[in-house]
Amino acid sequence: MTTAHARGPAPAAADRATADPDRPVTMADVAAAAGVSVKTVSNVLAGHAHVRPATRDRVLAAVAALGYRVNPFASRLRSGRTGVIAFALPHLYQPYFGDLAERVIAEGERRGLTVVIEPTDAVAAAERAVLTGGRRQQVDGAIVSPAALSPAEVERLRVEGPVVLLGPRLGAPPADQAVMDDRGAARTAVAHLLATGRRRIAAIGATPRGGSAALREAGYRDALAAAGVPVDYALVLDAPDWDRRSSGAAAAVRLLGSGAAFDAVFCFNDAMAFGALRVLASRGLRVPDDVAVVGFDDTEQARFSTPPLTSVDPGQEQIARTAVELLVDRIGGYAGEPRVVVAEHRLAVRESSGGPRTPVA
Amino acid sequence: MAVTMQDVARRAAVSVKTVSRVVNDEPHISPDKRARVLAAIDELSYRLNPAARTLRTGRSGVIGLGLPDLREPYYAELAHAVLQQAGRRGLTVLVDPTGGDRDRELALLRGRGGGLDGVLLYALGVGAGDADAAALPAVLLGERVEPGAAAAVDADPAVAAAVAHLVETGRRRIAVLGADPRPGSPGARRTAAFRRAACDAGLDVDEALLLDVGPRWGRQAGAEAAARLLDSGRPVDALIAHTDALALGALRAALDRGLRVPEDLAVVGSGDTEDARYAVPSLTSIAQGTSEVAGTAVALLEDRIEGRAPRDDGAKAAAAVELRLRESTLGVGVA
Repeated sequence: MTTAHARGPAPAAADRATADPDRPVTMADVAAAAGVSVKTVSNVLAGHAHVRPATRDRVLAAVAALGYRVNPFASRLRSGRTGVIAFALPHLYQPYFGDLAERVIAEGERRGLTVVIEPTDAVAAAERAVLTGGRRQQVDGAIVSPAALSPAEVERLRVEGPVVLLGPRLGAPPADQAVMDDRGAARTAVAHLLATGRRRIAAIGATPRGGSAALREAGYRDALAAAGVPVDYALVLDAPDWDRRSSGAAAAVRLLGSGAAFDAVFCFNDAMAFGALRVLASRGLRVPDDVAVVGFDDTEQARFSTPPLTSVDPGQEQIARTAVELLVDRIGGYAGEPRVVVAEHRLAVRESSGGPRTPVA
Repeated sequence: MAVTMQDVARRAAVSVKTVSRVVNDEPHISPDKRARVLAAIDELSYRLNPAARTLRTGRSGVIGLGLPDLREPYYAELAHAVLQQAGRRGLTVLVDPTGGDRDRELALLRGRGGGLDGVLLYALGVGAGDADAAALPAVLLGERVEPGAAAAVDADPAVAAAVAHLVETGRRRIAVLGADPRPGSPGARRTAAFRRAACDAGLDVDEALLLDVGPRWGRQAGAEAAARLLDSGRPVDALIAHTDALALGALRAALDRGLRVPEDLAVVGSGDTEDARYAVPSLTSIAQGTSEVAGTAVALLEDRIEGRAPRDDGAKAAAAVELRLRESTLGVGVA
């Protein structure tokens, strides 16, 4: 379905500002700016596979340059679509998800899609509703990061509609997955502490629920084993609520109260690391001189904490980009077997583990 | 002015009936007419009146929540509070990040893609007048709103309390992060409150200490503004930031420069977020009654969705604000 020929030639992009600055940008404007047909623009935005990469890039560049946004209503009439996708996550106040949400939004914007966030509050019924097509009236598809549903429950679900799953890698995923290498990234973080001479490394964030916590704990053990350091379970601390700084603070208080000697702490996410940093400061312990601290997620706040936090970036940018790409394919009708893309991680070394000063401004 | 079906008909040079038939996906319309109508809808940004559709299809149980920035801890905590309140009423919340951009805020007020029963909007770009033009039940929240029309935060008394506290602890040269030249914006209002309080306390306001940090009040913006100020050599002994994120950025910039907080520079944030409580040093911050704002906003919206008369306590919906004193103004180990 096209719109341009019905009202004559589309104005060139450069003429828009002079013509009528208040007129919304249309698909025809994007087509004119990219030098392609409206049909091609429509194909690119719908994620159809048979568009040459160079053409696709030109169209996406024009979308960005003109600030084109899909008119959800018109789009729904044409194609039955809304031009809106949802990102369902447990909590926005958990810094990792706030950061990731901003990246997914930017990625959607690049493709002219509106992204809405559904915070599920880690309620299983809400997660199930999104995964089984409960938001079809509002959105064309969803990126979902389950927190309440266990990996086994997710695998058993009959997923409805276009869905991409984040979270730990599943053995038999019911939908496409954009995942991080939880175990490998944790191993990298702990190997860094070992390489800088730490031997009594505590781990904060273990839970009996499996999923990411179990994988990160396995990565912690992998790194210790590779360095010939035995695991001391007095140094492995539970923290059931990953989303709160208070959880990391409470674990640090327990660790200090136990009397166990330690010279480093690896926290299974940044939120808990900020809680641990706060407790160490209150007790007069110097970071990193007395205790080195490493987080996981490399959130924005990691650059701003006192001291700035060394953290492993699980590949946020790549996860956001891949998740939107996979979802756009599915919305466009791709019906192949579930695909899994594993992001590459990277360690950001800052002062909390003896790294260089990293002024923010 | 909302675009009507008549406008679409005129632009497409067809009858209103034809527009209606295209919109309702009825058969037997020539492809040419259909294309013309769709082009006109696209050009005029026309949206179906969701209220009319609700009559036909019933409610979705989903509301939209527009917020400027998801990385800003205050908005994230506000979203959580709204979610809790809405969840109790069986409503699902879809959060729409607006970047504080007026067009995006208006798009949400017009119902975006459809399927929403109502909208809550933390408005930076639109004002109370725009909410009346909303195409579906809507409630504005935040500071840039008129009393009675929304769930309002009146931060003025807390800004005054912050100035009084800083003066009491011996500060004379107080900077402001988030001074915003746009009339009626939260930044402009708070900065006006700062001027009044500073005047009451007998301070001379140095205009060079009132810093516009741009539209996004995040950590990086706070760090950059504070760095420019501190590097300018202009004397300053305290700083009031209009969000905790700005304050955390300023805190980092000060510490990077070897300054001691609060001995060399006292720092006050706003939002009383978890980030403020766990910062090193912990951050003195203005609590904005997040859960009250959320509770009032959801209750007001529910009234509007149900078509009940607006409660007469709309004007009283202003949340209690309060200054929470911590280490960044009192000293390490004190609070």
